[in-house]
Amino acid sequence: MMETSEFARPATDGPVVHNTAAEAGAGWEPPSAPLDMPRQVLENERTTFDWLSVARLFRARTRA
Amino acid sequence: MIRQIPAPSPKTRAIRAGAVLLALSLASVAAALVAEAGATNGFDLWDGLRTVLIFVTTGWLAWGAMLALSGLPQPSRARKQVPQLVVPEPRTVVLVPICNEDAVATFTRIEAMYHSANEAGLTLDIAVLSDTQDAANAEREKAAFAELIAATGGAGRIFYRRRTDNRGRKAGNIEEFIRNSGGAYEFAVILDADSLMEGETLREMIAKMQADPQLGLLQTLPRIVSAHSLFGRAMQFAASFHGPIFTRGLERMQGNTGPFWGHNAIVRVRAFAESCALPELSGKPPFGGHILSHDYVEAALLARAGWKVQVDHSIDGSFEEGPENVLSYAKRDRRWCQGNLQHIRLLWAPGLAGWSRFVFLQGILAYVVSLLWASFLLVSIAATVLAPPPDYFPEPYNLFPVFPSDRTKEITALAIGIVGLLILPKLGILFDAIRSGRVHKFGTAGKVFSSLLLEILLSSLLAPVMMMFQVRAVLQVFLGRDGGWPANARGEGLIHVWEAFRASAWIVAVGAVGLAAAYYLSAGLVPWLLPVGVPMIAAPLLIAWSSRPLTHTLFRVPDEDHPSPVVARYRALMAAKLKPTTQGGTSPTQVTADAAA
Repeated sequence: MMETSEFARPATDGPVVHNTAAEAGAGWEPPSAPLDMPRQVLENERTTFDWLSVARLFRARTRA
Repeated sequence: MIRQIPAPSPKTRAIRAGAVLLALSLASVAAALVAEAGATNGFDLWDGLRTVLIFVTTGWLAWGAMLALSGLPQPSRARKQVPQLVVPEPRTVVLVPICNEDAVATFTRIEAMYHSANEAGLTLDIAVLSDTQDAANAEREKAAFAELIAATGGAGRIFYRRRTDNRGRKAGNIEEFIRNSGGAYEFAVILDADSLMEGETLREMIAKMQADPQLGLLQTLPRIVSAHSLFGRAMQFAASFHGPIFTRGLERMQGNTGPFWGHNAIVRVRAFAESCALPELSGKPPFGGHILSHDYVEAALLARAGWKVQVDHSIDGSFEEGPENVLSYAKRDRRWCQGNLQHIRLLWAPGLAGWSRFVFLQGILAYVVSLLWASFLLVSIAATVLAPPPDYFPEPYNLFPVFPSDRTKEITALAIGIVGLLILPKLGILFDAIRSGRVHKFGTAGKVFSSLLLEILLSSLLAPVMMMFQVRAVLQVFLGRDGGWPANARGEGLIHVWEAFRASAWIVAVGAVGLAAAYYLSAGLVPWLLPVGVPMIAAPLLIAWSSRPLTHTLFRVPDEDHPSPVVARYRALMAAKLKPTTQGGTSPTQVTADAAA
């Protein structure tokens, strides 16, 4: 089972579908094996800059 | 199971700490010399600026030297055993994302790698993921794909898919495949259109991923091949001769939070899927929108999710092609510049390892430092011109005059020290290569020394020109100009003087005006500025001259005398395709000519 990171957004991108805008070449038979890719979070929710975060900048973050 | 960010080993911590301390120490010495020189006639704002600028720029140079220093010590005699592939062979796909590439060359490389992989006993799938938007190029790709299937009998193992909506560019292209077909594969090898890899290399990479279930991504050090021009061959030589040592230093410093360079690497599909779906950043490009330099971010995200990311300089049989002239290099560099500066938005991204943030910072500094060097030159001129006249009687009632102390020796020593930071690591690598015997792969020690000297001379001449291109790129990005992702200029070679002049006339102007202004304001500064000003004025000649083909015995690399089998096969296949046909119909030559047009 694939693990879900705490930094991944809930799946709001909709169900996984084949890219209907894609064209296949003759002989294109990829295995249909969908895999979820939860969108990652890279921006803080805060709208104001947290100056204390500067102090935490290079401290490695680990999770229990 | 929740994974922790891979912790660095005590050895890695020690190497990092030592490198940072030494770099900061050298930067402090440089800053102290400049500050002391400035204080002889009163320490003012300009002296302060110069001191700060020389601290940062020298620190950056010193950091680069530390990478070489960290990589010089030979690894322990007991060579790590290369793991064997455990059967059954895990299902692996080779992904080749392309966009407006030379279809014949790209698919020929794939053909060479397909045969090489089969000979290595592998049954890999290969997926060509096209984002080509131009309809004519798309038709050429389909034709080349059909030829490939016919030549290899690879139907059912080699696939071709073209997206008409290239959202997210290369990262989105790969993501689309992983979302639709990733569940069928355990590993994915990610290549560029100009990548080549030996079948045995692919086998070794898969085996290493099998041997370490915590390894999320393994990056090889691709060697540049097929360079023809002076510029291209100089880069090829530098990458082949210096690259392994610098990369070994990088390995030792990065530990398990290593780099991803976007190609010639293998990923664990499940790890990539769970952690590497990149978001669009808020706001507009160049700082918002899709993440341009996605590879560094993907490496950071894999580490955040607790996977190891490693680079291994010892894996042989991984190749790529490089730019053949300064303008192609500058075009590619513009995209990398924007991508790295965009990482400013990610310095505070939640949950990243401290070292990942430091890697982003390094990427940002790699480009900003050109602006800082240029600023240092301007501030130095300003400081000299605006310096107050000497005060011979600083103390009242003093009968005897006090002459300002001459700091020329110290500043000369500083200049020599800075040059030393650039050259000494390369000399160190040369001595190490002579001691270990590696030098003989490149020719005699004398020939290699000559190649090294010429490479240093060429890079010294081109450095001011590259600096100006980077300064322009940085300023464009900070002023909000989005450079996007222009088509790769693979195989572009000879640049005529007029074309070089059109591209670099502004550099000539800046160099000429700068030297003239320095002469007018303070003639004594001119000798110090000549090493920067003269190459800038000669930029069109340097760009054109360095783009000319070079067939000299200098800059020889092992791959030129003894090409790797997959490279040799690719060249043979291309040569056969480029022969004019005697029958009717579209010849491969015509196909390639169309692609070139």
